[in-house]
Amino acid sequence: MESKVLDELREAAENPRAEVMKWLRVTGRPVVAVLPAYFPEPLVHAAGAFPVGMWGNTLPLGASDSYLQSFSCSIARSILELALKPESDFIAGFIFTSMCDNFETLAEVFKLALPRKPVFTFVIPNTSHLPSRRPHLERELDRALAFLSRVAGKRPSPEDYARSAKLYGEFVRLVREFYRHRALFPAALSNYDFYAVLKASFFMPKEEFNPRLRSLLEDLDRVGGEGARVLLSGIVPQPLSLLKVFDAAGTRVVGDDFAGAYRLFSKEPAAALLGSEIDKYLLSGAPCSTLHRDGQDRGKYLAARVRELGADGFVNWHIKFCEPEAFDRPHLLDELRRQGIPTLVLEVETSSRNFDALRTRLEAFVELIRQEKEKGAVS
Amino acid sequence: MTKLASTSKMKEIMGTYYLEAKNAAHNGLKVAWVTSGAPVEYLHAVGAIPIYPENYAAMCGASHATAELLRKAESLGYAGELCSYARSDFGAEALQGGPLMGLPRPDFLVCASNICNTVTKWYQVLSRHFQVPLFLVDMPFVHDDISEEMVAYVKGQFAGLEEFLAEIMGRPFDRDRFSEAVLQSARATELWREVLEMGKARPAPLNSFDTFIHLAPIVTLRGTPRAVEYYTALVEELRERVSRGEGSIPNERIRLLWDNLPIWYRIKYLADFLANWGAVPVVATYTNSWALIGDVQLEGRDDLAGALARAYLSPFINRGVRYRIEYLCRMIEEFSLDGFLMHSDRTCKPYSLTQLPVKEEVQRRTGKPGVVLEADKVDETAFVEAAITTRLEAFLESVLCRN
Ligand code: SF4
Ligand code: SF4
Repeated sequence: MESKVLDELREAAENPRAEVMKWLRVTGRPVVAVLPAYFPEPLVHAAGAFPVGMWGNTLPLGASDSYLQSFSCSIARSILELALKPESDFIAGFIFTSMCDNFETLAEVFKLALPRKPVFTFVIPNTSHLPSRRPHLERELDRALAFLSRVAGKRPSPEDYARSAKLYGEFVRLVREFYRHRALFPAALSNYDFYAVLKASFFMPKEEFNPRLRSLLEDLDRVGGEGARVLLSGIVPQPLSLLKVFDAAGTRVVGDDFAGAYRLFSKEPAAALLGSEIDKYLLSGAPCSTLHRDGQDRGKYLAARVRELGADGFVNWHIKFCEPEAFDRPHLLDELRRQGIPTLVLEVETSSRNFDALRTRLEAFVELIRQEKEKGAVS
Repeated sequence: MTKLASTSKMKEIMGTYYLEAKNAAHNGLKVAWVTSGAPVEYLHAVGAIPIYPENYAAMCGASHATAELLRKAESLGYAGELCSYARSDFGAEALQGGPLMGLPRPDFLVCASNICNTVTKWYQVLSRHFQVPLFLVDMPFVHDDISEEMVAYVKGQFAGLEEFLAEIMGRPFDRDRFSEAVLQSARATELWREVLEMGKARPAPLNSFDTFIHLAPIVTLRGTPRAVEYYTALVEELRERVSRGEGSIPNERIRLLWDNLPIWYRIKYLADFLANWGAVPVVATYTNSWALIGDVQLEGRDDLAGALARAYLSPFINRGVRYRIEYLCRMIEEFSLDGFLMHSDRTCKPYSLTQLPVKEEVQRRTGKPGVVLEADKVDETAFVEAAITTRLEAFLESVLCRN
């Protein structure tokens, strides 16, 4: 598909720095980097800052090596690499969450590597005792607001917040519409373009992104197309260019379970500036390897989604050294296989460039799906 | 390793502990698998038997039984990048392997995240595997200071834990037994601290490699009188050694700190290698953590849960870099150290991933050199002997030059 809006969004996804600098000039709002995952982003917006999603990048690693050992995941390493560049100095502050050991320690490494940069970690409650959550979140909300007023110069009022929540409510509605369209008409956009559009949303103010996505949605064709329908799961589709391999191999990604995509967009923005609302936000939406919920079974959940989306197979897009994902994986794969769903694991680093081995494996997987379908059609 | 009379006593009480645990079901007792930083006083209060998979994984490592367990875990799909303790545990369960032929099956699980988030994932796996209830006590990483709000958050969960236990045990939570367990913990912790502080003596009567071994009771038996008895005797023995001026190695010239978990399968090798240089680690952040964990400030007796929450939030691994740096500098000063060893454990991210910049900063502040040793606590394939010895030699030479 060709469209001016699509070109513009693709451009944003491929050149995040230029994109962010453009909006920084236009809006004059301080840029606050929102790192994975689930910090309630409308707070940043309500404080008058420009929140930018930072989910890793493809930079070759250099300076960060003297701060982080090689067994840190490449999301963490590449974020530090980028932050250490003098060109990143315009970033006013960094917001982390307590999602995993790698991130908790990364926030600490930031304090030593970039001592002048304000760093905040939002502590997501992971407890079996539900009543403890709310007072804790009241306090986290308070801490977050104090941090934001320091880096953005303003403590948002409930009215400020309500306006931002509305904007973000509109944002997730549009994104979910985009997903629904995808599941029905996956040939309307290449896999690459679909995720480029989503990625672009990290680097644009939502006021700018929303109308563009709305207009794109109006222009999208309603075409199904051939190919192996797959569900992708992982932390984030990085490196983005790997999706071109999915395109070339004849797959149609009909949905995903990325922390940095569907898991994030499936959450309902907090309706008000209250710990209880933040709690609802955190508990809403898709389960995640980094969020503990008693009795949760992601295997069953994912199998159900595969069926719901009419997917033919499941691909685990694994960022090496990601513990939360690697712990869940054996169970997920067992459950999916038990239910007769073909599965594939691809391991990458965010800076991976050579996809030859992955391409071969993906092609074999597509072939397997084709054969399964044929068998199904015959019997 | 230092020859201590207490060692045989320890082997005996640990043997008894595991034997009792193995027979628990037979004796109508409930078994709980718990993390090393779990508030075990609650379990003692209800008479459940706590089992520590981390301790067992360490035992397997020290007796070179890990390789097979890790292979099994890998065949089950658990990637080599995951915590090798967790992988050992999965392998040991699948094979009923290791020195004790596996651990007794749990009736329930209690996981505390004050050591890492990894245990949360690990215990989720256990909960699915055994189909038993899991109680997760969420103890946030302390980036700055332990705040009142954090303590309140943890206390709230402790209250939830009481309810959970009452339900599982089918009887009300016993407050008197709880207070008793907390007192026993505090007492054992106090003694453990005394043991560790003996390292200040010159020569040190025991070294960190010894404390890695003598740590087992404070991890597994804190909250019971057995730990108190054991450490009372150990302190006594060490006092005598100090008064006789007996060091843990013949010619103590270089005093060091050990940071991070032990390299369990190479303890003796490293002890001997260092001793040949007259070098000895006399204090370790790892063993010190159990001097913090049970360090219940008893003036808070009317709020035992609060005091316990505070103590359990405090281990070194749960603290941010400012604390880590200050702590290391303080140890270097208090134990009159010449340098520090940092084991960079490739499958323990929360302990290891701050080490590189922390090392630089501690060196800058104290003028004492540090060295990073790349390995893994129980995965022997991560230990490259030639690389480690070259590093250590260069480091020890530089320490001697400075001295
Ligand atoms: S990729 Fe995994 S390990 Fe890395 S920051 Fe994300 S959740 Fe943590
Ligand atoms: S070794 Fe590290 S990662 Fe593993 S359980 Fe212990 S603290 Fe957690």
